[in-house]
Amino acid sequence: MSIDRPTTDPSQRPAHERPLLEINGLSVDFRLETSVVHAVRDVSLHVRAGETLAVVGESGSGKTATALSVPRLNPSPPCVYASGEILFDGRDLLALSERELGRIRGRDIAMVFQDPMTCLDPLQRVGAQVAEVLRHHTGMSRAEARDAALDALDEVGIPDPALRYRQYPHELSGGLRQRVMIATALVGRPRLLIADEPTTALDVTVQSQILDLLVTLQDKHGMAVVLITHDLAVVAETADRVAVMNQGKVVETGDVLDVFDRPADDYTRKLLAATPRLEAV
Amino acid sequence: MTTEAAAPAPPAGKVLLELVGLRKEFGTRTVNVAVDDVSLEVHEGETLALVGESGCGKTTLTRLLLRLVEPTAGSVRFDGQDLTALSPAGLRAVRRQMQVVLQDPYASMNPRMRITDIVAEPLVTHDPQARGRRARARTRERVGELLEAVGLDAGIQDRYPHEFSGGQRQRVSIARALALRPRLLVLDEPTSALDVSVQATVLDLLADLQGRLGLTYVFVSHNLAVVRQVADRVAVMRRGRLVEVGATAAVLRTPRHPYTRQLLDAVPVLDPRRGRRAAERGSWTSAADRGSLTGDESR
Repeated sequence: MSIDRPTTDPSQRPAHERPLLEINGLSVDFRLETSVVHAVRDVSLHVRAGETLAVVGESGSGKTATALSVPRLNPSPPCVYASGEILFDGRDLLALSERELGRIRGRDIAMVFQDPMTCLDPLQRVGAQVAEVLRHHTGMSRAEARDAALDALDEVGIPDPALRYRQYPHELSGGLRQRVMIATALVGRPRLLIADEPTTALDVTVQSQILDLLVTLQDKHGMAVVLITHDLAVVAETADRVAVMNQGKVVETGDVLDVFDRPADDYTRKLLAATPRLEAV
Repeated sequence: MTTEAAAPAPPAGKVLLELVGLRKEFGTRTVNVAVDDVSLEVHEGETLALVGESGCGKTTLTRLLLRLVEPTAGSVRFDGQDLTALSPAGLRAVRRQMQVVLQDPYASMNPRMRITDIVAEPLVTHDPQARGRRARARTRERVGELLEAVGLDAGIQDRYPHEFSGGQRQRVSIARALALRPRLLVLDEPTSALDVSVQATVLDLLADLQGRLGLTYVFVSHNLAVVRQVADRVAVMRRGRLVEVGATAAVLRTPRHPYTRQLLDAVPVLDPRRGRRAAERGSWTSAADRGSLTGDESR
């Protein structure tokens, strides 16, 4: 059987520590006009503080619908959370009011998406978009938020943050935009980061830098990360544990080493076999 | 190409496509050099991969070699004929022999055309015999053959693209590209929009077709792991220039140019014991092993 390994020095993290996020028996339906799509079927997952859980699957596997259920961001209607619970720090997010959830979303739980161009406001300077998060969640003054936003841009490795602060998203390359997104997500010091295909739209050298950045920032701040990806190589590079999804179900979950060394499920084996490798095995 | 001379296995077939000193500038006030002095040979029956990151000029280069854009300088020779010097009729004749499959199977076909008309379109365009009502039965038969050749059912002819998955559509694109029995296929990121299990089947199909039909491929990709799998030779582009050309195995194993090295290093490795978390994993493994021995960490 697989052993659930803590992510950092085991002496600091007792094995009985309660997960930060615990999804139990989650089912999500999309009720369309003529049919119902069971996008997520009885999914159970958990992530501990400081740990990276990769949710991997192909298009339509339900990985994004699962991840978006945590901050309840699936478009509703048509989305219905049919059953299950999502415990964040012991509280069931599915039972919270929109107002209560609004206090958690963006502050305790932050998100990074695949395409930064569609997530950043094209009409706002990027610095203002980072500062807005702080103003909204912490009630900082304009000047304090500005300073903190500049620090955040600096922390994600954006050269000349003062210049970039004043620029608009279209003036930035894809890699810089993704860094701005990450700055926006992390500026509120979230305890959980949900990253949905954060490097899929990027060139391979830029992807490598962004993955480095995510790993570094996670180690620095100790947040939990749920990484949604279709790329098993990205999983191998970054995750502690992995959940493989297919047709709305988790078909296999476990420690990355165990799943890669001894995949128990046929679909996992098929995915591993289909992933092209740079070197002959 | 100096690097090419050093490649261990010289390509077998004769030169089918030859690019000589190709250059393409865009813009009038500020000139942007998209392709800068590119010379390259593609041999009959081989797969040449064109690798580089976005903006490096690889797509412009494919458009130049199909003569979809006019080069600022340099020439393209296909089977000895200079494309830049051909008459319109001569160019049409050459173009039958070089076809293209594009990246996005959703954007590369008219959603209001039936599969049969999509696949038959090159036939109708290039062959007067394929036009008109009387040619219809024969054209449908040929479309059926093409669909079967790419692993689809000949009976799908009257359906529309939206009824098919990305992988199936990419097969339709390939069938369309094969309609005129071309010698050269330009494959511009043919699988990068597809799921990995679908990608694998489309790559298998392309390899199978190449063997059966003796096709020559120019395979544009940003994915070096895919390139390793499909290409005989690889040309690495950066900022409009070729920085390295050689046999795939040699370039990937012992890259000569620092940029190639950088690209290779950036590719995520499908092995949790290597890559950026490897060092930590070493310690977890031992910690967990200890745990399982004493039983205090197992659930």
